[in-house]
Amino acid sequence: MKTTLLSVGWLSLVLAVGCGGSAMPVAKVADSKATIRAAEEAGASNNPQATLHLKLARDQLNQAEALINENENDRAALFLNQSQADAEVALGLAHEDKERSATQASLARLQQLQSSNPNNVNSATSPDPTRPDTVR
Amino acid sequence: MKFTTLLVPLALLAACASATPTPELVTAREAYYRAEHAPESRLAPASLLSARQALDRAEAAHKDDAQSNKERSLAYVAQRRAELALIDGKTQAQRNRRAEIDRQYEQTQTKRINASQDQVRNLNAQLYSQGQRANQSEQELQLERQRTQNALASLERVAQVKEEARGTVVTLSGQVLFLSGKSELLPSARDQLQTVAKALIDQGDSRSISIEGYTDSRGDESANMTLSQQRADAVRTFLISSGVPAERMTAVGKGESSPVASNDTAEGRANNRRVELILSNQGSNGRMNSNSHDEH
Repeated sequence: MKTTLLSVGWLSLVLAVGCGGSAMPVAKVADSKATIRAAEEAGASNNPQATLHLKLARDQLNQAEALINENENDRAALFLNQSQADAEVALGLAHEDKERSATQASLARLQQLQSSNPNNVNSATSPDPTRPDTVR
Repeated sequence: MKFTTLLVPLALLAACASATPTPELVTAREAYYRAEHAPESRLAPASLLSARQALDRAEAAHKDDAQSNKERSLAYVAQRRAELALIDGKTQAQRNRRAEIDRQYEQTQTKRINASQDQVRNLNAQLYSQGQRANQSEQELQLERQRTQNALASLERVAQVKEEARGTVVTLSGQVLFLSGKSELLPSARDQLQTVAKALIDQGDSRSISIEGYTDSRGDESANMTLSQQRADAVRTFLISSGVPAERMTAVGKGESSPVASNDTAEGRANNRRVELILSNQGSNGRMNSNSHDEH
């Protein structure tokens, strides 16, 4: 009884959408959620700035979902755009962090090689291959 | 609208005044300006283009319906896109820097590998030439040993050779070298002494040689002493003229002392008339002899 009433309600909503206002921004919701998840997985929460954008993205997603429930699909779409943009900034920041630490690692590796270089090249004694791994 | 076409400057002013952008749009414009002028954003052209397009949409919304929610929202998005362009540019800059560092790493490593390969090659070459040299000196040593043996053999043909504590003693018979009572070398003695000289030179060492003259017990003792000295000197002089270095040799007259046989028989006396060459064990490179030095 309850379910039929609910489905009738949904049907009327769909009909109302079909006739009058704009369509539900389903794809935008999915996009925004996916980008938020991607930013989380990329480690956005390790960066304060990225964390802030992630929070903005989530808040705006929630607002959008609330508006969708009120059939305010146009306004919801605007919030979803903003949510998506913030999620992308969070993801971009996470990528930048990753790239930066990879560069640091590369630099450390190079410096280590350079500092151990003269000993190995100039002296006739055999190089010491056991050292580098322990220092790192 | 008609009004604006009449007074153009005023119209522009009016247009500006009437279409005041939202604070969001102002911020978006500034953000885009920053991104566009940052050196990094050249590294993320796609992101910058996307930011430009987002700003264009916001500007269009502003033109279409100033101060609207749509303008505000699109400007917000445009601002984020501009920020993202800057971030993407920085990310790309890091990526480029890392590629350069890694390239340098590879180069350094390659250089180092080449250097150690060179080192190994050099060491191998050194070892090889050292081995060659070792072989060579082994051969030289063998040759020298052979030469010494040959020299001794030729010496033994003309004189008696004995190994004694004081060194290698070469005894030349006085009868062969001198006429009785004389100190001039006989012509036949010269051939023998030549052989001795050659042996001494061929032996190739630089041991000092003591030349000692001896007589039998007949005659005046001091005369015998003088004669033995003169004979030792004669032998020394001849050996010098045959090429044995003078500084290696000393000549001593020993007279009647140290007889090797009885002076009572003719044969014994003949044996006592002699010149001895003593190649000292002491001094330089006495390598032929294993005898100890301490009896001197």
